[in-house]
Amino acid sequence: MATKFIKYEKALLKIADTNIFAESAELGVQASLQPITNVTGSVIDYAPTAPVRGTLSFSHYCTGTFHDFLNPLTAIEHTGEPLEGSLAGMTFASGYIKTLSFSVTPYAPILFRSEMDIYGELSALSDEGESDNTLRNETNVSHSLRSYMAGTDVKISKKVSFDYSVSCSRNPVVTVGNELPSRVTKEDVRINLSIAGEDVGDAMSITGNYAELNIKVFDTYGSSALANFGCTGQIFSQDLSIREGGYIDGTIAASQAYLTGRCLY
Amino acid sequence: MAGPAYVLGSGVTNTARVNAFEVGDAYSKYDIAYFSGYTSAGTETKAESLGVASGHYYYSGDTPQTSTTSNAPGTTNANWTQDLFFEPSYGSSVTYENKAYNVAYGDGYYNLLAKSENALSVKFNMSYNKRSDKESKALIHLFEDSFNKGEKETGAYTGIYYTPFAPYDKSGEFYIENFTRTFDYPDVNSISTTLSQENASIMDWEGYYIPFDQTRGYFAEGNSYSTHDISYLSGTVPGGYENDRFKIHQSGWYYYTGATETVADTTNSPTGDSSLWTKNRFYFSLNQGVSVPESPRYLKQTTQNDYFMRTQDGINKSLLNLQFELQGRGDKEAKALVHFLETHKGHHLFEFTPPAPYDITGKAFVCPQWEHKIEYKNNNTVSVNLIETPLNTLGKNVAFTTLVTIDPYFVADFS
Repeated sequence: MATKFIKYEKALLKIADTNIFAESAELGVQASLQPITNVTGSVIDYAPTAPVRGTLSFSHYCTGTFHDFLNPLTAIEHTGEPLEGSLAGMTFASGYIKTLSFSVTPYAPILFRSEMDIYGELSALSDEGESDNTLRNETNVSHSLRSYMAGTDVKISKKVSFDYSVSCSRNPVVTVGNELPSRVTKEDVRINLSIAGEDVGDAMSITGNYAELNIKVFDTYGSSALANFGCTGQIFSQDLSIREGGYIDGTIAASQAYLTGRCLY
Repeated sequence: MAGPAYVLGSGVTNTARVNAFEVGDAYSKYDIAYFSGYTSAGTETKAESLGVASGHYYYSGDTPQTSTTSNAPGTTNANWTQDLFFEPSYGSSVTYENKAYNVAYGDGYYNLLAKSENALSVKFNMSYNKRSDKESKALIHLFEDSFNKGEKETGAYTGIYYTPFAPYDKSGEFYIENFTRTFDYPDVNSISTTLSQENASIMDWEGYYIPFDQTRGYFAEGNSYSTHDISYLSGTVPGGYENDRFKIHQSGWYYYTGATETVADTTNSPTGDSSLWTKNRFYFSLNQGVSVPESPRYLKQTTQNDYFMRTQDGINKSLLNLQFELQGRGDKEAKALVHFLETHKGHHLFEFTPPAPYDITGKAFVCPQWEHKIEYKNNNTVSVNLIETPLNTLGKNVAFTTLVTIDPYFVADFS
């Protein structure tokens, strides 16, 4: 029997017909089961309570214009969802983006982390895997060197690093008689931004402090941003820490409840 | 053609932005249009001439379509409907309640008299969770508009035509009394309502809400049967069971209780010496967590200063009244369970042995109400209320000379 050991260069991650310059990828599948016991305590069955759900987590470097379908902020009608894709030749047909996050720290390339829910059958792992040797030619990757965050509301002028994330809950809608969802909703979309620097800004008010922040992600050499992100919300936490032999470190966190758009019917 | 006049507050519907059907317009799933006919190339065609009534129609096709004269409502290619085509979510349930007069005789004896042949009331509790704004608008509009259809000669309005989910997939006319829409999140809505149908008759031996097609049909030797199969033991059936093997009272619905699939023969048949079938025995296993509450009957005489004197109240003091859920049941078992309860119509006796130490065999119960909740595919919860009766008359001969109803294939044998 053929081995399922797939060499690293054949573990291509592909989503929406796009090869991803991934740094790592994990795929897990979970069935929701409830053990059913009879009155004597014996297990008589394991009852399913929800569709089989897979989770694909991966991190990748942005080598060109950021792919909209990886951004949970995109209106659900425009993401192309459900997304098809494959990992090392193992294919899936219905993926739904759930989270996106990245950190910008000095001298480091910017690694985007994504997570998506997957419904429906996965194909068997291919013995041959799948490769794309052109990815090794990608040299311009998103990098902190020229990327920045703009906005004065945080009152931190010397930022050391920042973390940006978008998350949402994806809930499958399964109708009676079916195993797979007819729809996967996008709810509770939140943008979270954490900034580390030399200050913590203004004193916190009971409703938090308003902040409008824009992030532009560049590669090392490019003159136009690969991606733009933002957070127009409220600063809701401030932290200050001092250690022996160190400096005062300030951290603030801002959050935005985001509306992905709606049509008037 | 113009749609109906919407006078503010007139109560026609509360839904805005509903347009008239036009040939040439593009429509997609859950679009609503008022259709009274169409005009094409200067020629007017009325809805009635197409054999359909004027009114609101809902686009049910999965593929968007530009309307033409050949796919308009009333045509054979139409993707338009007035039926309830929206698919309910898991969590929907079906509740049964026997509307009966409870005649108490003392000493625990009682009789449940069904109020009519429609006494077994059934309601479909429908959940439509996490639906888009567009689907929700169409669904709510259909519900609202269902109160506007006074088409019957009696003056009564027509109901909503609907084919429920399996195993209740018998088409019928249902009515709603109220409904609720909850805005969960932008483009995410939850809607709930209850569908009622009061004209189903318990005299219909073929099937009440679970249709005959959902069973294994007539029992026949040589057929292969497996656990929870439902089959009708009848008289002369083409190629089926011979008519001289059983008595009149043995005819009826049977449930296969064998653990493995077996080919039916005379010995393991419903009337065989080693029968693998049951007709009147509640054979479904109970889940953990069953409560057995007891409230024995006694007489309590109140005297002055809150002093009570308790005296015995005859026999049959503590008839069991059990309410429990049978959880995590597969679709087949749930169907057999509900069919079993349907067959007993909310007031007919069946045998049930409670869990030890209450496991006295031969006790008879009735189940006047139950609920079947569809949790997920192959995962059902059936909540039942079993009430013990002091007498088990199941094995007793009952001399009837008048048969109100009987299945058409039955050949009487009074020997």
